[in-house]
Amino acid sequence: MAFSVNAGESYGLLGPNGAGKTTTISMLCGLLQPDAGSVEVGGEVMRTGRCVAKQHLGLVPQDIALYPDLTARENLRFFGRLQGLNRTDLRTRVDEVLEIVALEDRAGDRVDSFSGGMKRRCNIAAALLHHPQLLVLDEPTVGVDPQSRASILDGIAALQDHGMAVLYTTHYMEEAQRLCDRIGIIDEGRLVAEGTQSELLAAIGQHPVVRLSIDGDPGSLVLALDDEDQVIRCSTGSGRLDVSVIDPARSLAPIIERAERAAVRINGVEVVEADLESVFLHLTGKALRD
Amino acid sequence: MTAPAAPPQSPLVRPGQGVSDSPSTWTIAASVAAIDLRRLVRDRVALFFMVVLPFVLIFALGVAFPTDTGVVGVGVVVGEETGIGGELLAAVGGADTLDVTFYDTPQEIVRDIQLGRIEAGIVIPPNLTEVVESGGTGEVRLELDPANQASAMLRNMLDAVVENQALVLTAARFAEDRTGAEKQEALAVAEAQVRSLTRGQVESITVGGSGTPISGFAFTALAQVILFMFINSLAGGSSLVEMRVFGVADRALTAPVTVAGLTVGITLSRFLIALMQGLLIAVVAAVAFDVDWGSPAVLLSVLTLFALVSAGAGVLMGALARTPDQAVAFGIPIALAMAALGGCFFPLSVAPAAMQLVARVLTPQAWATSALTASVFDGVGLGSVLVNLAVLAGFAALYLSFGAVMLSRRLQRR
Repeated sequence: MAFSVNAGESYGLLGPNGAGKTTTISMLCGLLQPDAGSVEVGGEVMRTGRCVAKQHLGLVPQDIALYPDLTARENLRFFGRLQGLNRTDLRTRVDEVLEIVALEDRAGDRVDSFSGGMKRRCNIAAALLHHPQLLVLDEPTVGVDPQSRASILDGIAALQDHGMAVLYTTHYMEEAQRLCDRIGIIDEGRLVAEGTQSELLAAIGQHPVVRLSIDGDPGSLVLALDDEDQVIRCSTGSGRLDVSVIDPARSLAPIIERAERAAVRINGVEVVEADLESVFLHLTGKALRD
Repeated sequence: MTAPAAPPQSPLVRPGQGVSDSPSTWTIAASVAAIDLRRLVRDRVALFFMVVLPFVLIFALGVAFPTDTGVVGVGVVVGEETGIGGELLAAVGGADTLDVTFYDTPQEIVRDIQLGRIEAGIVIPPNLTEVVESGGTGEVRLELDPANQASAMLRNMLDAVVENQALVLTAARFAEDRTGAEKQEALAVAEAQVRSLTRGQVESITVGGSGTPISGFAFTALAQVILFMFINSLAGGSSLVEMRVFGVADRALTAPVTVAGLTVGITLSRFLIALMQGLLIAVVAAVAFDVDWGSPAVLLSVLTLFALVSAGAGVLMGALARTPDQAVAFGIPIALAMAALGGCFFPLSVAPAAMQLVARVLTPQAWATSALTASVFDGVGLGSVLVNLAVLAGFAALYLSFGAVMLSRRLQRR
């Protein structure tokens, strides 16, 4: 597999369980040596052991990799020292990352007294201490409430806006859709597709659907839409016509016009976007959580 | 895909602008040690085992273990007052270090040893001299309390008396054979000669090199220091397991840190904690219980080497255990068994020879306790325990190597 993540870009790595996400991340972070090929971060080759590339990368592991019986500040100081920050920089930087994740008021509290969302934010803070160019987040919102999840996603988006490259793995499709500029889908250790969401949808022939609730003969409307450029195909149901289109915004007006001409009354219109879940299912034959 | 827009300026998020230097191995070690100590201070159960329980045990066992005044209580059943029996009585009665009580039967001696009234007993059979002089084997029974160090001293003392008598008889028979002298005459001459050679041997046996009474806390303190350094190191392996299962070790390895550097840091941390445990017990025992540790050089050498042994064992336990509870559940019984075998619960010198051999082969505790015992009770210096120190260094190298290899493998396992 080969992919790159640019500065200020968020790249989603999706794959079913056992697809190789964790192994890929372990190699990216220098925890595992690839059998072949290489990983570069900030132009430096990543290796297990001591290397400059590690100074450009911050990992937010899936589990809360903190000492629960220490305070947030104590945990951050420990990881900051391991990152090689000197005493003065460390003190300043710990305060800064606590501010980034909005935990400055709880800096002196033990991690095991935090809510799930606060632990997740502290987990992220530990990866930001050394100003990494690339932030790798391995399912960072598992087990948190919707409010905390929204806060975490907003925070990650803000980091991305400040020029940080973000590599993101998740089981929540809506997170990937919301956060990621590009998405790579891996299965059985191979990158099976890569691109923006619309590129992936187009590549597998998945298109948005304009769902019409109608009175009258849907067949006449199907015939009327036959030569419309925006329409790809139609499928009928009881009192319903699903029209697959290229762009819903540009196709609505022609569809309504053709319906009037065909004397078909439209009672309601709903636009159903094709989503990553269907892309994923199409490419891997598995649901994302399998 | 469009190129990313120019990032806005932020005082907090500056990707790639704060790259730091790779930390030295010493920085890693100091960081791991500092965090270990901080966690230890927060752990009330661990603190109880480190700074309370050792002193409770030293106090309780020290009070129960009688203070050695230098005088050993000995019971004697006299079956013969003349001849060899008389010699034995004279030797025992004349020793300043023995307080002799006479009994009618061996059973009474055994009973009083069990009740702690006396430490040992001697049963001199009737007609002992006659049996020996006629070429037979006389049997002097020696009843001993195996838990009392003075027993070993008494055995040595009586061995010396018996050897003297054997010398007299051998010399007399030699004179009888070669000169044709009368038996009684030959015996008298031989007795005079042997006495002139050996007088004072029995008197020279003393308890304790310093010649001053030894506190009952001394043995318990030296035993507890070895016991608790090891037991807390093995149980402390749980913090190492936690480092792994919490994901802290993996996160640490995504920093510019090598597996070797992290392993050294963890090991150094365990060493410092074990050494602090030993020094704490030594200092408090000296101040609070008036324990005289003998040679400071011996004490510091033994504590340092045994801290390395304990650190290696702790790292090994931390690498082998899968859960923190496993480290505690296996660590404590193993440490207790090794302590029992290694002379932390009773003096190794009173154990059977085979047991002593097994203890010395299997346990570093045996070498540590015997070195401290020699320093505390016999007043020896560093030169007299060099073998002990060398063996301890060997155990330390073995445990540390094995522990480091196992931990490195465990840290690299994905």
